This record gives sequence, C-alpha cells and structure tokens, in this order.
Amino acid sequence: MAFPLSLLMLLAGAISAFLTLIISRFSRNATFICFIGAAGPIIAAQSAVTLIAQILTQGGQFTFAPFFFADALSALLLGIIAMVSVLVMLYSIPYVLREFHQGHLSISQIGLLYFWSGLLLTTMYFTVLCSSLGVMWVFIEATTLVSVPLVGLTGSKASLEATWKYLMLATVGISFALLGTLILYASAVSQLGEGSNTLDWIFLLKHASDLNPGLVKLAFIFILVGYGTKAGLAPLHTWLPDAHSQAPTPISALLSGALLNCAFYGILRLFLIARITIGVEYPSILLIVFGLFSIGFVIPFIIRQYDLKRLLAYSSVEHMGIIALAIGIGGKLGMYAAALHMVTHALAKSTMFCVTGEVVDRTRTRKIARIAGLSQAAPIVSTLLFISALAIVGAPPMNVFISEWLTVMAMIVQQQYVIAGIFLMLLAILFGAMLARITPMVWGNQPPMLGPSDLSGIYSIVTITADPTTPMLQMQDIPNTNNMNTLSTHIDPPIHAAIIAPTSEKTHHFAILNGMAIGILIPACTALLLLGLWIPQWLSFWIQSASEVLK
Amino acid sequence: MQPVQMVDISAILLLLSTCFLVVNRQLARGIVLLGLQSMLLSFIAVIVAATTGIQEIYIAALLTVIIKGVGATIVLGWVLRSAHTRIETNILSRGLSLAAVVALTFVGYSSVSPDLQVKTLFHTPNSLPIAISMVLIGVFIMITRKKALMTVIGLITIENGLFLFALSTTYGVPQFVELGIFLDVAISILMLGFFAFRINQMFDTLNVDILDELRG
Repeated sequence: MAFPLSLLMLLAGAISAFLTLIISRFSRNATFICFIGAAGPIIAAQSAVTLIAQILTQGGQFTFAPFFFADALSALLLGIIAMVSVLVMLYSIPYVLREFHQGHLSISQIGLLYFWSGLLLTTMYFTVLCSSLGVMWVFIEATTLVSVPLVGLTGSKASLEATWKYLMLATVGISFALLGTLILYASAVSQLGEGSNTLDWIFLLKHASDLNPGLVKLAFIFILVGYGTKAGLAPLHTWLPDAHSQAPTPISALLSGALLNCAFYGILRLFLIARITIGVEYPSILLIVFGLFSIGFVIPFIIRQYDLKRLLAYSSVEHMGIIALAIGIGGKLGMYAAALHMVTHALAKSTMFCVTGEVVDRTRTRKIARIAGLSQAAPIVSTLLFISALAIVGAPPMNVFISEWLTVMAMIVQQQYVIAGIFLMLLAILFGAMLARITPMVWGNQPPMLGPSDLSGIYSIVTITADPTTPMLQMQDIPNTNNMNTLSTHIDPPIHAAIIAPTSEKTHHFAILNGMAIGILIPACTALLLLGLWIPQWLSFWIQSASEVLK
Repeated sequence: MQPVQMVDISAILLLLSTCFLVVNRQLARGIVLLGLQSMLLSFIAVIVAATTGIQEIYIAALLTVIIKGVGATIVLGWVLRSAHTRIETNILSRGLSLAAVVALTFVGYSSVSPDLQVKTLFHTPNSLPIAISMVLIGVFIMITRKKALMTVIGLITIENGLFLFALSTTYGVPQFVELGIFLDVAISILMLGFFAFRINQMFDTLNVDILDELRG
C-alpha cells in the first residue's frame, strides 16, 4: 500500500516555511507573510487527515517508502498534530499581527517564527511516520533543534535563558535515548543478525521475544529517561516551564499540545517491544512511578505559581504524567484512557494557551496576581478562559474528566486500589490548586472596572502600572482616585484596568484582529464543551483503533 | 601492531584526553583537546573500516573529522574569540574532579555486560567500557562547569562516547541513521555555538550560572 502523494503533501509545511523566510526578506507586508506561513501547515494538516482516513479504513500496518510506515497509533498522533497545528496556525495570524503592530515582533522575527514552526510541524509528522527507531530518533532530535529558535525568538534575557536550558537538557536527554536505541540495536544484531531493517519497528516487534531481555530492559530505561526528558516527565521536566512560558504564545500551544506527545510516542513504541521481551510488569511499574511522580511533583509549583503561562506548562507536566500512568496501568480501558487523554489534553491545552494569549493581550501582564475581574472587563475572553480552565482541570462536563475517570476505572479493573487512591487525591488537590489561581482572574473584584464591556471587541485594556509605554493606545485617567490610592500601597499592586475607547484607525485595526482571535477560539472552546457530552463515531473509532495497537 | 591493539590503544588515549579535558581550565586548550578527541575517534573508525572492509565507516570517520573535529573547533573558537574569558572557574577542585573521573571510569568498566560485545572481531577489552565512561564523564563536565563553552564540550564528549559505543558494539548503525545523526549533531553544534555567542553578547559573560532568573 503506497501513499507517496499524501506523504509528499505533508511537506507543505516545510515548503511554506522556506517561502515565508524568503518573502520576509523582501516584503514589508506582515499580513501577507502570516497568511503564507499559516497556509502550508494547514494544507499539511488536511493531507494528514486524508492519510488518517486511509490508514483507519484499511486497518493494519502500512509501509510506504523504505523508512516510513503507519498504523493506528501513528494515525492518532498525526491527528493530534494536525488538530493542534490548524488551531495554532489560525490563531497565530491575529496574534502575530497584533504583536507586530504593537512593536513586539519585527518582520524578520515573523518570518523566522513561521519558518521554524513550519519545519517543527513537518519534523513532527515524520517522527510519527518512521518505521526505523533510529530514524525516529533523528527526527525527534530534529524537533528539538527546530523548536529551540522558537523559544528564543523574542530575544529577551529570559527567553535566552529558557532556550539555553531547553537546548542543553533536551539534547542530553535525547543522547540517552540514542544510547538506548544503540543498545537495542546491539541486542537485535546479536540475536537476529544484521540487515537494513534491523532497527525497523515492525521487524523488532515480530522478533521481540527473541531479543536479549537484559539488554532490552537497559534500552527501555535509557529510552524512557531520554524521551521522558523531552516529554516533560518529572523530575526531568525542569526545562519545560521555562521553554513553554518564554516561547510566543501560539508556539507554546504547539509545544505543549503536540510536541510533548511526539516525544511520548517514542516511549510508546519501545514500550510495545519491551513488554513482549521482558514482560509487562517492569516497564509498567516504571511508567506508573514516573506518572505518579509527575502528577505529584508539580502540585507545589502550581499552588505557588505567579505566572499564567508557567501555570499551564506545569499543568502539561501533570497531564503527561497522567498519560504515562494510564499506559502503565494498562488493560483495554487504561490504553483507551491514555489515547483519549492524549487527544483531549492536546486540544484543551493548546486552546487554553491561545486563550491565555488573549488574556495577556488585554491586560499586558502574565502575572496572575495582577489580573483580576476579567469577567467584567472582557466577558468573552474570561468565559473562554474559564471554559478552557475547567477543561484542563478535568471538571465533569469536560472530556479530560472522562479520560481521567476512565483511568481510575482501569485502576479499579486492574485492582490497583492504592494507586487509584493516590491518583484521585492528587487530582483533587490539583483541581483546587488550578482553579484557585484561575477564578480570581475571572471574578476577582480588586481593580476598578470602567466603561462598557468588550462585547463588540473594539476595546482594549491597558494596565497603568505594568507597561505604560504601549505606543498606539491612549491612556485614560482612572476616575476612582480613592481606590487607586488604597491599591498603590500594596507591594505588588494588582492592575488598574482601564478600558480605552477607540480613538484612532490603528485601534480599529486591533478590533479586527481581536475579533478574529475570538472567532477562532470560540469554536475551539465549544468543541471542548461538546466533546465531553458526545464523542462522534469517527472520533471514537480513531481513538479506539490507536488503543487497539497499545493493548 | 595488530589492528585490535591499535583500536585499544587509541581508546585508552581517548580516555586520557577526556581526563585532561576534565582537569583542564584553559578554554582554548579545552577546544584543542576536544578536537584531538574527535580525531582519535575517527582514527579508530578508520582502523575498524580498514579491518572489516565496511565502506560506510569511512564516511562516518570523515564526517567525524569534518563536523566534530574541524567544525566544532571553528564554531567554539569563534565563540571564544568573542568572549573576554579565557579560564574556566570550576566549582570542583582538580583533585575532586579527577577522583570523580576515576569513579566514573570504574562505573564504565564494571557496567559492561558481555552481551553487548556483539561483533567478536574486535574483542578489545577497553573500547566499550571507555565509551560508557566517556558518556558519563561528558555528563559530569556538563554538570560541574560554569562556562557555556565547557558545557558544549561536555555535550560533544557525550556524542563522541556514543559514537565509540556504536563502533565497538556493532561497527556503527545503519548508514541512513548514521547520516541523520551526523546532520543533527552538526546543526546542534551550530545552535549551541550561536546561543553561547548570544549569552556572551547579552550578559557579557560565558558563565551559565547567571541564567537563574526563571524559577518556581
């Protein structure tokens, strides 16, 4: 079965990446660059969906070209990447243009943003389509290398720090994964002889019971630690909050929603081999320990978190832990829960990052303590924020709740009551901790709210204390001076949000961009709400098929 | 001299050069030692290629010289020239560093299982344990050094250790994978050099321990 055309179409992201880089050298038109840059990944996503449909309707495993193959698990990841990339690329247009008009991004930075993110998406697609575990390593390392410049894009000191930590830790982690792959290869060569397909995943799976158990165990440990670093499993996650909070917001959504899953995919492929060679016990215990540790480790950081984007980054560590835990618990239910959780977390987290982009744009601060009373100042944004926050913490009507609940069910089926108890307790703490950070931003009543709401999308809020130099927007005095005096005695004063009436044509320009961003995020949040109540047939078939591979 | 002995002696020289790298404090000398390490490694690869007759290993040897030998030296030299610092301020004393290296080498020797010695043609007693030791020592360098340049050198030492590991277990990996790995290594060296340069430009120092603003 050959799908060379779809495979080539996946390169659209890379082609548009190079196009934007070239165009950004000559053109001064930011809108044009944005549309070109976003078009390629969206075309690639469309062809990925075609590919998924072909894989699912025909079932089984396909080898297209010498080094490429796909099965339902690849289809799951392809779909996650496609879904996140469409949302992120659409959202990136208003986000990037707004940053450009406010003077935070230059034309060449926009070109670089679309260049590297197009390459990132392409390398992610090929990561999940590799048949050789060696080539897969090459692509996963490539995803690190092309995402590093994205983290450092803004060029600030903090982003440089995040970039350096990311580059160092991810590269060392990946080196360990290479060591694991080399050990696996040595084991395969000694037992099965040398050939061009010795590192081929299907070949290894077929002969997994012939491999040397000691070596496969060693290989699995190294690969778990290596790819686990990249997937953000605690305690190897230390680079993650920095990198995901310093990247431009659409990129954060891409990294948290799609890239973490791609790294986890590397662990899954080896897990499937290792559990045949050394039995399911040992790898499962490792995954459960890493999973529980990741969920528990982030709690203090979430409780005391001061930065909105770091809060979400820590939440990603937690959710990767939940996926690892569900895989470790195993069974039909556990695998289904893991596959479902990958999808729902990807959608919820990327949506929430994009909504955060809107919140940060309206308030011009990322400090949680300085944002309050959004529900009055920006009702639509605050509604979106609250919906996506509920989705992230796994509140009952949302889909993340279903996958977490299925994980607990799987534990009960497997009679892992102690783990179920710990898991539920940690989840309850995290539920409270996350909402305790989010609700004051939505409903807190600290700052005086002035003027009409942003229902029509034409008003922007400017913080007086945070960044008074925002060039395009005219600042209005706060009439309530009494309140101002009381607030200014605080050490770190909460924001005085003031709503500025549109005065110039430029503000009108922002209105269109804000409206566009909201218009993209409303369907995404609606999808988050609806998915909890009803999962369409084709969607459940997609997730079900992937969990069949894992089972 | 037998090819096996030549590989063995080169491996021991590799370990020695890595030890020098650990005790060394001159950044410029560190770059030279790294280049020497990469040259020794490609020398081993050439002997293995000549003895086994596997043509692909010649390519790997050539790429090692170009990327890790010449390329890394040029990139790191460029970073060093742009910086004021010439000397590493190590957080560990020389004696302690050396003790740690001995311990790590011991770990390398004791952790080798006979199962890993897949290709029996080169049953060298030293190359595989040294490969593992080099990976560990590379990690050690990265942890204990403050200068961005030395962390990069530690990282390339890890990569070199992995290459030696692949050579001494299975004469390298399939060629397609090998080329991909070299491409990744080349790009990562460029990126590391570029961002080390940016750190120096922005903070006016190569010390990475000033990068501690992001917390919590």
